[in-house]
Amino acid sequence: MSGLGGQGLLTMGKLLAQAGSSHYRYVTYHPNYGPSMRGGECECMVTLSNEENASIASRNPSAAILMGAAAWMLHEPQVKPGGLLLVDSSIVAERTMRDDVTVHYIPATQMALELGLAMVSNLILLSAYLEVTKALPIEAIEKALKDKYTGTKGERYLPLDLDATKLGAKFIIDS
Amino acid sequence: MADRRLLSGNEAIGWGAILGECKAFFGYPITPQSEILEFLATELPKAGGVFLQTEDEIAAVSMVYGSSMTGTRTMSATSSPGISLMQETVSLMAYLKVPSVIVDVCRFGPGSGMAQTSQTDYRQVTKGGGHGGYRCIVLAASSSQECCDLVQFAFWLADRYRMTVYVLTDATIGQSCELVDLKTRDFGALPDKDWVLRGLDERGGNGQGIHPHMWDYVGYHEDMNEKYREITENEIKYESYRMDDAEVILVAYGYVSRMAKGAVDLAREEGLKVGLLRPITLWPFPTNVLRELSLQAHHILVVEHSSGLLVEDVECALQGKVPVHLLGIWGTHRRDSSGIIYPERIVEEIKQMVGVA
Repeated sequence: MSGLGGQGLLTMGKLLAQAGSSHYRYVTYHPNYGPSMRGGECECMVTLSNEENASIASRNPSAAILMGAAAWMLHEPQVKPGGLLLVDSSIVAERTMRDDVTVHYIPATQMALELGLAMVSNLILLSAYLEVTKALPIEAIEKALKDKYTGTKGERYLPLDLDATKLGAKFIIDS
Repeated sequence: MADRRLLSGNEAIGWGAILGECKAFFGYPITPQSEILEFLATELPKAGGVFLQTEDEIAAVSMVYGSSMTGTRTMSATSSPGISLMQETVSLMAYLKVPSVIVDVCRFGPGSGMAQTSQTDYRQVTKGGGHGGYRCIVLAASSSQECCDLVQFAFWLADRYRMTVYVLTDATIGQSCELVDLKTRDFGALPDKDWVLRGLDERGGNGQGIHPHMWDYVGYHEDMNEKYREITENEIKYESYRMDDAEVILVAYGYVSRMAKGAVDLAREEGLKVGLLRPITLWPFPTNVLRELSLQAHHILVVEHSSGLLVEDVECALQGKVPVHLLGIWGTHRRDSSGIIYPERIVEEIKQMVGVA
């Protein structure tokens, strides 16, 4: 998952890794970001597997969630043949020329704004990813969200978070 | 069921300190190490230890020295420039045979450099860093699990040999998260700490000289050499991966060794006979192991996120008998500080080396 600092990429990756921890034997979450907290390039890679993850990360992931133009340039050509691309089409205008990957263009930021908060675009994309791949049940992410935010100052956003996780999955089902 | 948690390398180091019965931590935050302080600030006091954020790294390591002199298991953690600042006291501790554990979560250098990943400090921790020709044991972790286990081992080694033990990681290992079994490791019995300062109560206020060789400097270095020889004989640790029929041997440590492990798997899928030697102790270096393994090898490829530091120890071990290639910092996927050496790039290098298109 790749985009800019502030879009919730690391939160999304950490949630996926945390939720994956009770479903997979081996989980690796690898963040990579520069010194700026907002607006700098930011990405992370999550590997869920029942076999030991020899490597921490790969240049050719089997799926990519892309939330920015730079992220598109860097990763669209690198996704493995037969892989999956999920693109926030509210931000990324490009369309892939590749015919060896499955692509979903999801106006996640627009959908998040309509829901009330741009910040939940990450959850829309994450739940879309899970709906396509079935890597984890959506409930696993809902549980990870509740575990992470219950009793914190982020708790007031939980209902919105949970709505966003439903919305992403619904977008895939309806499309 | 074992306590298994998703932890960053930095958090796992904190857990390793607690499980290793560290009772005092002194340090100063610096990216990419700060999560160690963040973790221990809340968790160490709960485990009956003392946590103090000092005004800088020089104060931190001075407090490590003082605290260790009382026999307390004491640790500090920093990143590359912080290690530079600590060297005067590390040298002093080497002279006075004071045990300590220092974690270095390496960032890009030289100078204040960048906060992202690199391996530019291999030479600094393995070849001294301070003055006086002393040695420190260096343990290189390559997963969150190993961060937790090696910190415990570092405390044991420090007490066993009365010296500084570095645990070396990097921003990638420090900040990546993996599942960790939180287990207390037992490494065997340790000698009594009969050299410690216990204060007025136990010794009636009498001083105790710990200066090892006030009048015999040759003896001091002879003793040190004997200790270093013993460590080299007994404590070398390494991992050898898919080495059975390997004709190409990769040598890597830290985060890059994980990418190299991935590269071994990818290369083997394409029928290339590749294995990995991962030194866990960078000092003492597994020189003889490498020498023996190299008998079967046509090529050695050292992969490291620097301009070529580990490669010096590899070349020294092999003495020109097998060609040694280097994939250094130019193997990263981009030229700014976000660059990473990925497995796919290593496979490309292997193919070029052995002449497979």
